[in-house]
Amino acid sequence: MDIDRKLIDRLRAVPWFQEISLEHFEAIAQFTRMLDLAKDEILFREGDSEDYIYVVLKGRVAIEVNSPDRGKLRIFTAEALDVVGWSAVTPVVRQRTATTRAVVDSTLLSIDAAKLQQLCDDNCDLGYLIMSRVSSVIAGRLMGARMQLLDFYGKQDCEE
Amino acid sequence: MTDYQLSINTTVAISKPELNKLLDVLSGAGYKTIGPVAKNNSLVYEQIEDISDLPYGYETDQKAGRYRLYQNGGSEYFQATPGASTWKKYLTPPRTKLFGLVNVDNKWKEVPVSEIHPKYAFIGVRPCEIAAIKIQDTVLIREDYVDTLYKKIRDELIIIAVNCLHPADTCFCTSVGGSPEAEDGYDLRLTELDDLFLVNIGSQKGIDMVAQLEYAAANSHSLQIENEMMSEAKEKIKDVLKDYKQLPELLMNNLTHSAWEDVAAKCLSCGSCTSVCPTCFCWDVQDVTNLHGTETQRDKVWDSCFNPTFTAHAGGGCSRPTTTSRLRQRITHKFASWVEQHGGEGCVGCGRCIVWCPAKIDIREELNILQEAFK
Amino acid sequence: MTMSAVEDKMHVEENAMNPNWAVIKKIETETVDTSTLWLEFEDEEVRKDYKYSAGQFNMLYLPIYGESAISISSDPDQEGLIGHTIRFVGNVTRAVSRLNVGDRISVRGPFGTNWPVEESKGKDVIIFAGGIGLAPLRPAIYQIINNRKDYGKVTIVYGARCPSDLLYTGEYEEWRSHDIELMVTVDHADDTWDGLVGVVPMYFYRLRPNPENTVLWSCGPEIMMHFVLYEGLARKIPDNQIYLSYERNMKCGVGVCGHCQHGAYYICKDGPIFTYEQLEPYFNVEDL
Repeated sequence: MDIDRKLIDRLRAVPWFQEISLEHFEAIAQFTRMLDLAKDEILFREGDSEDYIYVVLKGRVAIEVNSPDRGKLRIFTAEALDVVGWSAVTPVVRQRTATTRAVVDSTLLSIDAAKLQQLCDDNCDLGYLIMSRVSSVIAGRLMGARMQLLDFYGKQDCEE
Repeated sequence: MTDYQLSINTTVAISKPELNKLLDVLSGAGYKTIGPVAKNNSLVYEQIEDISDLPYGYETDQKAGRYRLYQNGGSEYFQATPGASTWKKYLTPPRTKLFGLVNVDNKWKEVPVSEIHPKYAFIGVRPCEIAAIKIQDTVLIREDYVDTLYKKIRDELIIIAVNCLHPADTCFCTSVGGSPEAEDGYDLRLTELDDLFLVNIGSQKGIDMVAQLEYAAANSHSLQIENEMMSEAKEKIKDVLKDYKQLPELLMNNLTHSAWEDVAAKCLSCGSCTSVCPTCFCWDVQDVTNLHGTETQRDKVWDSCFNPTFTAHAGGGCSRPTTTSRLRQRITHKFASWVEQHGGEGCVGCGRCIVWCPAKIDIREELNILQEAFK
Repeated sequence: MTMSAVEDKMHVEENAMNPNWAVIKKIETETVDTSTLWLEFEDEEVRKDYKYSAGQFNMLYLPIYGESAISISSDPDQEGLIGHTIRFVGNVTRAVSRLNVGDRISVRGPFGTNWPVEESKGKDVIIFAGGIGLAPLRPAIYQIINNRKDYGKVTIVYGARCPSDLLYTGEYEEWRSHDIELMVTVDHADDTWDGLVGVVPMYFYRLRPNPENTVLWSCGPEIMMHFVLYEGLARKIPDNQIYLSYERNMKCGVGVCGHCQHGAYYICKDGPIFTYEQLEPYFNVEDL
């Protein structure tokens, strides 16, 4: 199969993928493709199956949860080099728990989650690297979610 | 009257009734004479006009959470240990008017108020109380801030000290670098012997006062008795507080230690200790307003770090919500952060916070518990 | 014959606590509960002599209601009106919210320490602000813009609870035009908000600071600043190059009433802006 050099260059530019060998990039490139989203286009919807993990290259995509009484609530916005849809590579694959929509015209890398997992299973070193990076993304999101829960701005600064 | 040359540090002897003459000299010079008075079963500082106002023949019995004043049939004016009253109520009054405002045609105008600054002469100031006044000086007369009212009163203040011959069980001045013998900071210093006062002169004002009295040179016998009595007094003070010089580092390095919970277990967060403390200076500012909202005055009032509003936030809540945090603030302020802020401890060992604590908390024991725990 | 001092006629004290009248010249509504009051001292001498630094605060006093510490939010290099961005949440500030142009208010100050605007020349500046915390930083942002070439890379991350709580939205484009990278984020948003959603400290991971040459300034809710600090420290920004603006119950402004003590510091005099190096001994001591 032809190797898309341009795609590999894109992959290598993602800090998340640093330290991965060229050989593995070539393998990942086999099941990675570029994806353009127009403003307001939906990447995936709540309830969809979890097929892909994405890296934003350009633009901005919002992760939304729809609440019947409150409308669409944006809980996170991903910008360039942010990962979206990380739960697709965790062992328990559910369905999408949120909707993701492009806020502006955006470009993403979409990586086949099942094939990435298979590659990780077959190459434990690479698997460890990828999973450490995924855990770091999750830790960041969890921290952010916790801080959102803290609702910093709830209390005002001191005064008489 | 003799030709005796009076100078600073001279000690003379006067008869006890001659103290009346001193009061006359002071009031004649426009001073309001304040001294200890037995009142409501306690000793309070109030205006005195005659030595008969002093607590003649009284002594006190005091320990943690207890103060009893009673007649013992003795013949001393200054035997009784001071009560909750402190000189700070004259130097930094509990409520001071900062300014008044009146609303005229929707515009606030300042109301001129005639200034009244009495000239005070304090009679019977204990050595620990002189130490406390010196501490207040460092807080209220600084390079970057001067409490103008305090300074005016302080500049005119006459201090007639009295050596402490009968320290109580709650006294611990020697544990915090003090002594029952006043060394400086006074205009005159009295030592009360059986039939006379030895008067040590501490300032030019002191010289001028003594010059108007009937006095004699202090004889060596009296001076020897004074010496012996002072030694006895020093021995009587139990040096129970350990290593106070180590406290700043020890306390500040252990702010999160669980021992704070233990020492705070008894504390009621009532603020008695801060109101009787001769060095506590914290104050609040309040508007006192008429019902129509057309007149208001801004008052400076004593506050306490034990009050829930002390650290209040506008949106609700406060920075120190627990008794433990408030007690820790008081203790660390007195014995640690004060040193950093004002160059010395904020405690003089007078023992008032021990005596007037309704929960019988003894700061000396608490500090020892903390020291033990932090080692 | 005895009479205590309490019964004496009350003493009058002339000092730093006296009122200093200013007139409200302009009111800008920033959000539903926040406005900027532009003040001018009545007394011409006071007006001429009044100088302040970025990050300092004034005590605003409204008779009957009391006094409140409010940071100055205008440009210290500009003569003229003095801006105070006030969130109306307490007794005093709610009363202030009812004032109109032409009304008078007393101003004591300026008090406290400032952002190291001068000392940071030649360095990259990272600013993290949350909610009303942008107000005391705005004077510093103006001063950076006034001398933009003296600074390296300048980044501002600003967040609020929701889009309608954001301050100074009309100025963002101007700031960006001076080569300032400005990220604006909110904690909660619906689908009408095209910007970032997420808490302020999280965006640290988008920055690649050169720690030795970076100063980090933060003002906002204390928990927010703590998370900003953790991110800054994780990226090896030195303790003495991280500046946080603290706030306690300030009353006198001159470090003598005792209320705003934080360890050995009087926040009103030794702060409100501290380096982490200064705060470290007391950091994360609960209820200090």
